[in-house]
Amino acid sequence: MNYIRLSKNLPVLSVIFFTFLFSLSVRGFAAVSLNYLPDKANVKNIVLENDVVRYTILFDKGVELTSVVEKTTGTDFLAGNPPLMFCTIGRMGSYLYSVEENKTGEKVSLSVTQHPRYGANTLVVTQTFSLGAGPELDWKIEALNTSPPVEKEPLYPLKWTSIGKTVTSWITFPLMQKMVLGSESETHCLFPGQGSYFYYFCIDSPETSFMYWTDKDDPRMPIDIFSSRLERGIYFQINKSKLDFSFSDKNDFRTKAFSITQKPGEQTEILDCRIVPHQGDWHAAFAAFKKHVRSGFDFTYYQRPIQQDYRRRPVGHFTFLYDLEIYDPETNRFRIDEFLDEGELNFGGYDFLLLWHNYPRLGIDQRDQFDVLESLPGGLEGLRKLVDRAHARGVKVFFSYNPWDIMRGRRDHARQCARALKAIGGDGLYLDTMKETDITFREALDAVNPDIIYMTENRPNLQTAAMITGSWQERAPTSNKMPTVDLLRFVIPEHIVYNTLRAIRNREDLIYNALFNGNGIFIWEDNFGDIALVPPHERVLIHRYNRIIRENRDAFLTDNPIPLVADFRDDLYVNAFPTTGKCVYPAYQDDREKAPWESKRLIGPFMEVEHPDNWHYVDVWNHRAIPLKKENGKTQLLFPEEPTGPLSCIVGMPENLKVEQEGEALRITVIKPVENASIQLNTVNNLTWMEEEVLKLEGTSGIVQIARLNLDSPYLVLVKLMQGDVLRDEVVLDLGWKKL
Amino acid sequence: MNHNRFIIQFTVLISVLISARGAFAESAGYSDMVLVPAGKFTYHVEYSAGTLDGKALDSLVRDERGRRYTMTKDLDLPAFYIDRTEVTNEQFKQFLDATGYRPEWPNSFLKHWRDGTYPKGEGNHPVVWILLAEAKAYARWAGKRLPTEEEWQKAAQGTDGRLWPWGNNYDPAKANMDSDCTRPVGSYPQGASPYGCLDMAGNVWEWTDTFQSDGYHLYAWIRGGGYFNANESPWYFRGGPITTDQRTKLWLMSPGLNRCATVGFRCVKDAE
Repeated sequence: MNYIRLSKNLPVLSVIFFTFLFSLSVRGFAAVSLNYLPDKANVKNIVLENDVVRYTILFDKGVELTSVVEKTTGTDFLAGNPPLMFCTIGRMGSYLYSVEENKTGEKVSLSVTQHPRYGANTLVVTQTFSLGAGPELDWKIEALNTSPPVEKEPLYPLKWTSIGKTVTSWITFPLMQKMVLGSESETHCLFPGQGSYFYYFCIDSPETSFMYWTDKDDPRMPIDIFSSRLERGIYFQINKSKLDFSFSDKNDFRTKAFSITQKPGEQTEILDCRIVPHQGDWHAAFAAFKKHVRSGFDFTYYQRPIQQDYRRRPVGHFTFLYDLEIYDPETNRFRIDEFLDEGELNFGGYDFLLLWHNYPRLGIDQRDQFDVLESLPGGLEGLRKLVDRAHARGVKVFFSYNPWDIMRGRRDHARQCARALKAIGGDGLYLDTMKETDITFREALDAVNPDIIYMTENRPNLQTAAMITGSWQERAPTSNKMPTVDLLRFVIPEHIVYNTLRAIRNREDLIYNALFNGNGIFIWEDNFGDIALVPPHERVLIHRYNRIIRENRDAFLTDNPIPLVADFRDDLYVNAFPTTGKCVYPAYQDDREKAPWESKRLIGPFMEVEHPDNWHYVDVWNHRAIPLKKENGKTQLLFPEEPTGPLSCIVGMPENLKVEQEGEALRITVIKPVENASIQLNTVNNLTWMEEEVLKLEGTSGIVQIARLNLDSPYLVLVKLMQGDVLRDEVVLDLGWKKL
Repeated sequence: MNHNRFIIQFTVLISVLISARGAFAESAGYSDMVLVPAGKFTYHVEYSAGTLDGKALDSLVRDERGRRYTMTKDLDLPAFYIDRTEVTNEQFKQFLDATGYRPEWPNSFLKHWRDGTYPKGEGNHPVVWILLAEAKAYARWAGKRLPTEEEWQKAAQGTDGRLWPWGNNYDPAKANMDSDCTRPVGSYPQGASPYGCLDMAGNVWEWTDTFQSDGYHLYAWIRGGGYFNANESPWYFRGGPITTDQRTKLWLMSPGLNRCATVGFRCVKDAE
């Protein structure tokens, strides 16, 4: 062991380094190197570097990071910052430091231990930094309270001694919390926050962005400090920590101090973190997080073929069987056909029904939820007929299961559910009040029908989401507020989330939110006797949602949607659903209603896209073509006039449809042939803005007489190139007021 | 003084007349009925959805701020006779034997009976597993009718607004509450109402003649609470002891569901 005195370099503290020298030379490994500056005997800086990055650590008032240089570009990620301490921890007095080198595999590690000099301060802190072949630096902090425990209370007071001391230490992380990129105003912070039932992530504040997440035990997105202008940042992926890394806003993030309390002799792992410099904005942190979550996720239940069919079913209906909408007391039967007809008229049709028979009736007598099924019209056989009729019309049927129904000790629920579902022929089980299930229950159902789908009322955590392939999203005030991003939908898009609102008058945000995130919608008008009908204008929105999400399901159902892509405006929020040959951008303008007298705000270029030159863009929600502007060789999208509502849904596609007006006819040509193609002409209802299908042409070209469209009011005509029922191209024609 | 004496004499005379009238009623074949005399009565009820202890979101039961609806009104009901006890299995069998009544949808009809008759030894238990319509059919056959909610409540609590038939304090020894089965009618004589009606709390819930629709659902208001109390979850329909001023909404759907093991009835008859 070799002791090196360094005190002359440290103006405030008298610090001694204990450097533990190994027989192995660090220069021997791969490309990672560790250098002491100016020299090992008189260390002021330590440089840890590999082929891609160079970290310079300074020993001054503590352990500080002075620069992170990306070698290919020479960019210093910390340029403009003073040296930033990795962390401040401890109590009174000054410290001594010892340094130790180590190697594990391809990684070179540096451990710095901070020893207190003041006798009453008993905290010893060790920070370990490891660099491998990549740009990321692993960083660990451990703290040991060296105070010996007191066996017996001594006669003298312990106040000024170091014996038997429980230590509470305040900790801050200046590198993470104080780092500035460019200027303070252009430095943005992505961090987690905590609500009453959930965790979320936001950029600077939950007021400006809100990404709803799951359970506190699930992995969290790294904390990212980035600058959109400089297009770089550093994220901190916290793998393990005793501390609660959740913040209320940027100011809280910048100023928060954490605390830990340690008993005598207690050792605490304070932090296990990875520091990663990156190009671009916070999406680098999101991508790493998504990769991490998905690598540990069990997709077995999601890989069933039935799950693909289920993902194509966005619209559900909460069917309260006591409602006269479905039950006909005159004939004592369920009027399923009429009910489905009405659903088509009102909402564009249901993909599945959730039949609800139990609460609030359960408990009037000894019949439990399974007995009650047999008391419904026709008993189980009657229900079987209902399910068969629904299936004949392409509608799936879920049944509700109440885990709380344990009257008189009856708990053989798994067997009962399996028996009932088999008798009825149901497709899925809705797990009321639940967000978890266990494998024995699942196995009991699998034995009857392995295609049974689970859907829970509450959001599952990632572990249980492996078995639960769909869930409700019903925390309306937070989760469905616009422009909330439902992050589970972007990390595990295979999991189907249904936006569900019960007794609430205004469901507009719910519908916008469903399209914005590509979520499903649960229509629920009878909340156990509390009637909240969907008003006509919202039915129109659901119709539009229903059409768009189906026609663009090739984009909505991929596993690579991107939340909150960059745009030019602070008040505009855009998600992206890219796929081959198409990209869907649901866009939401926030705060329109806060200043209703300010019209025409959202006009002009609003975002930049990188697609081939033959792409064009259509707002399929508002039926407007989106003009393009070329700026510095890049394509910008612009709104020629402010959209009529806060939501737009822009679909980018290669231009493949040519529509020319020749006198009283439209000549339609498809430039590049598409398999299984058809042309569909829709008129847009001037009052409801809904599409009324008028003509469907088989084949890919032809001449259509405009008179055949039967237009007699101001109208738009949509010419769509469909492949099967998926949109491939669309041209919006504004034929004008009584032009014909 | 003379004046006071006159009042006392008049009161005694009226009491004698009332007693005589009761005696006449019994002698006229209403031995199983008691008289509820005409008179003013403050009718106060609280609405209940039967579940979540009144906090259920139900637009018929509570307002938008979560307050349960109540109703108070002064009534002047004419005199009527009401069954002292709930209608029994034996009485209902007499009705079936006499009329040959058969329901259109028999699912759960008298589910506890076997081979067309009630279980041995349960002739004097209240009849259950019957619809409101079947209760009404029985009443018509017996020359009676089902009580209105107002009549039921007056018979249960008298005119002093008491919460339980026997007084204001809950007493589990005075009713069949929170048990596994019905008990013979009149098993709790100490739980009698001011007019002598028995089992107005507990034993079985009782249909009243109210059958309603809000345009979206069908339901009935039932009274009195039953023997069964599923208390394992707050989402269960709350049974057991229910005070006389609670009107509880019972969701109706198929006949098989509407017939319950815990709902019976008693009848009334106008006293002219």
